[in-house]
Amino acid sequence: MSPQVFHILLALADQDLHGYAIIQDIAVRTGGAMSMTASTLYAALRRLLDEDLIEELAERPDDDDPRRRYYRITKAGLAAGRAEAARIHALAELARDKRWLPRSR
Amino acid sequence: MHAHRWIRLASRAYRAALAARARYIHAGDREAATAVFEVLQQQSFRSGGWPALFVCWCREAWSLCRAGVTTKRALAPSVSRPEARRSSWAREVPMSFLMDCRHAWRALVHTPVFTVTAVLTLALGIGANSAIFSLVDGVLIKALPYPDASQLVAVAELPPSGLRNTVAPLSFLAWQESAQSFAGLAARQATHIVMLDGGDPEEVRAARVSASYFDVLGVPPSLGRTFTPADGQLGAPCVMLLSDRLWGRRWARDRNILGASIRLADGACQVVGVLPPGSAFDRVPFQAYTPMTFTRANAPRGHFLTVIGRLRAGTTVSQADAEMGVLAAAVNREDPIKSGWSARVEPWRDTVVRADSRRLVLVLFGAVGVVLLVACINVASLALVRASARRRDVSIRLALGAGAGRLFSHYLAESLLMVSAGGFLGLIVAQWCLAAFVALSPAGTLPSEAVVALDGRAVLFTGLVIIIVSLAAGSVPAWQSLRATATDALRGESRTTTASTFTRRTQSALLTIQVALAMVLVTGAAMLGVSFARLTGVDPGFDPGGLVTFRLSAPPSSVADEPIAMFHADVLDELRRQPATASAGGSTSLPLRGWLYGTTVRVEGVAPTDPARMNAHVQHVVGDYFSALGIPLKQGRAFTDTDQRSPARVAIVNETFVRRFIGEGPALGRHLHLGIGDDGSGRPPAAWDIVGVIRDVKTGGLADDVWLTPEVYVPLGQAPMPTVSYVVRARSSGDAVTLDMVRRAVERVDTRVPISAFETGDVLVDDSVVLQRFRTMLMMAFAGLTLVIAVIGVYAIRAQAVTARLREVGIRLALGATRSQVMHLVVGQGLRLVSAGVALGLVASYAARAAIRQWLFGVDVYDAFPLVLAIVTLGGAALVASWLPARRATRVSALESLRHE
Repeated sequence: MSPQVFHILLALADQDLHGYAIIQDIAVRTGGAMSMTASTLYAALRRLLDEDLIEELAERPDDDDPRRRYYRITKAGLAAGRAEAARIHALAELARDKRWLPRSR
Repeated sequence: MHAHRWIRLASRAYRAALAARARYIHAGDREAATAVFEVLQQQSFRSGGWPALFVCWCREAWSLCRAGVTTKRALAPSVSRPEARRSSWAREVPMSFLMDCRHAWRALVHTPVFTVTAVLTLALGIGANSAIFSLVDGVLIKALPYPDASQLVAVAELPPSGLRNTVAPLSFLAWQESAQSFAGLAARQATHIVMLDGGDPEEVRAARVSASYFDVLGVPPSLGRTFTPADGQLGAPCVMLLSDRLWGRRWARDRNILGASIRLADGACQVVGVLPPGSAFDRVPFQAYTPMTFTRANAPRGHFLTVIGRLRAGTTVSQADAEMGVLAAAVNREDPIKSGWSARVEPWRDTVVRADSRRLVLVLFGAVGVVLLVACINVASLALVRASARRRDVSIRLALGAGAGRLFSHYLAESLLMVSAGGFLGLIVAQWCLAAFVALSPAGTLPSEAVVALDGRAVLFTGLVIIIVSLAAGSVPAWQSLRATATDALRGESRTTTASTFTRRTQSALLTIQVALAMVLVTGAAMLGVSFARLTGVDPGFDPGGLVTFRLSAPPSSVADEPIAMFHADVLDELRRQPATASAGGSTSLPLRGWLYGTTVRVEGVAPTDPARMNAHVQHVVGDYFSALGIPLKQGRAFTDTDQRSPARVAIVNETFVRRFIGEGPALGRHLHLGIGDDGSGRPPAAWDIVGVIRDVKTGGLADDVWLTPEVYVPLGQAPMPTVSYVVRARSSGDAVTLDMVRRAVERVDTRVPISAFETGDVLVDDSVVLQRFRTMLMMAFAGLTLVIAVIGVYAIRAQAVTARLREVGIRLALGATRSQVMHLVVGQGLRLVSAGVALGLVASYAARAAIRQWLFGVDVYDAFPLVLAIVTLGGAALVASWLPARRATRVSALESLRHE
């Protein structure tokens, strides 16, 4: 799973968001280190939709830009995200064993 | 163009580009993605201005290209789809090209000097082209800004001489009644009105138009209504339409203006409408419109109407022309003076776009085309230099089995990246160029109705240029590499002492062509420059130093002849009373401003030599006009104040008048019969006695020496005219005659009279050559730009040639050649190429010189001086550029150059 996709799943973990909000959420959470473009985002969202890892919401707030689309993470998405997090965690543990990272408290 | 327009444009382009990536971003997501892209652009521009916006575009373009790559990897390895692994030709080729782009990007970043030089060169070349394309598009291609503009035609009267003439009111009325070819016919007459409300009294250019005028043009007002036939009835209350520009300037767009009555110098007028903002009405010189009020019964004589028609659907210009020819002949048959007159119908665009504007934009387009060609050759030769430095790399690729297509794609990617960056920067350059052009171009250079803007069409043109230039600049090094076989190249790099023959020949050819092309522009600029210098050296016939001029119109209350003369006499008295004034006078027209009023001439006792051309320019003068202008009297006397009031008619003529109409005999005391001064009594007007002869003054402009104007001057008091241009000479260089001073003097006579066109004598002379100066500056700018680009190219090619010969130089030095011999050898080669280029350029420029022949003054196409100037400038610069690398070559020691590998 690419970092972009992982970050999209993280952004949707506890709230439903539209495209631009996802980009902003990721930018804020990574302190600007990851800023996505519209093309990257929508290509990734399309794949995630195709894999049923996220779903598009039918309802939307009133007086909203009609071009906006809202997304919500699915159970499968949550599972995939968790699996990826576990994998990263396991990798981090390995790196710690080699003292690439400080020991966890 | 502002940022938000660019953002909108980029979003639109992005949306279109998404269609090409439908496989990764579905049609259903396009709107959403575009919306996000739009917000991202706005955010970028807010946070970091244009640079940030540019970065945002680049990032988006990059990720759009890579949308497939990223997503394919995005879910791997945990989730993957079998069909994603399928490969196809359609997928492989773009992917490998993308990879080439990535390699090219890295290579370009590693050689910043080359990249920056090439990108800037291209930006200037492409920018100048996009800007001038906008001009060509606006002036020659795009429809004029009226609905169905192709249906609009100009209808003119055609005297037997065949020169188009303005239209007489009676003819217009007859045409309007009977012509079948038109859905509508409208007429316009230029005039001035003096506005007293909404600020200081101001003279405003206005037009009297027929009620049908705005319907024919098809433009509704943005506020209120246009004219109705009732407005055009004799005795109807005065109504007026304002241009949006005038409404904004004098009334701050106050909507209460609608229906309000505004004060003019000659009465009050009700504003019934305002014309739409940003329309052609904001660009034409007329700022207010009033309806014409004449009928067959009271139509004034003379020809002064501009007639516009809208063709009936399905009627062609030639059908209308045929009908009008017959109709006009029938109408004129009743008028003995106009027998033989006909009418002509032409597309309105041909009337609006004068031949001079057409020539200017076409010559400029040609010039920037040459600039771009030189820039393109320059980049190609720079790329060639780079390519020869990478021959080893290429030969290894070839040896490992890389195909021709891959190599071509590699070079194409590099040139595409460079040219695209140059093109993007070029759009910004174009915007500056266009803004500068519009700001600096003198009034009348471009047709005021044409819409000149850097719009989507210009961007499209730029895109096309980018593709063509990329292909052209990329194919040269690619071609060169393909000719080198793998073994050849490997051997060449390590053993032979000079570059391959093919590379050397290509580079020499490129250098020669570059110099030749630059020579064409430099020659043109030199000719215009010399021509302009000779033009400004011409004696205008008067002394412009320490002089101010301005125009006054007698207020309408002084309609009768006597009060008009009194008004001007009073103003003159006030002006003379000012301490700074040495002398003051006035005339109906000023030198260098062209022919204003003509009159027929008959000299008693002299048989006319050319009866068809017995016409002179007549000026009605007041005060010390000749001494104020510094025009010397050759014979007789000047007018006195007594002449202004006396009934004894007197006239002064110029030397050309004497030569043309009198010949050898004495001029003073002769009686003149002029077509002016008719007192309406039916008796033939009295003759005018010549009391003086003055030296010739340039009437039509400084270039006016082929056909000097015969002039007659009569006292204004004997033939009053309401509008007079005053000239006031200051007592000494320390005493300036200021606008304030003039205003105080005029206000003492009448407070309602606006002062127009206040300027110094030097400005009067300057204004007469403003168009020539503008053309010369433009050509010089383009020639200078080309010169710089070409010199960079010459330097790069020669530097490369010398580097390739360093081994040879070393061997020669080791074998005992002196440094001056080596210098001779290396510079000699450069000299031969530059000379060939200059010679070729001279031949090519002969054809190009025909395009500017009409703009030349005192210079003909064979004039040696500008040619020598061009040869010395370009040849000298190119020689220095080829001497610098040669000098470096002779400074290395023999050992060092042999070690050079």
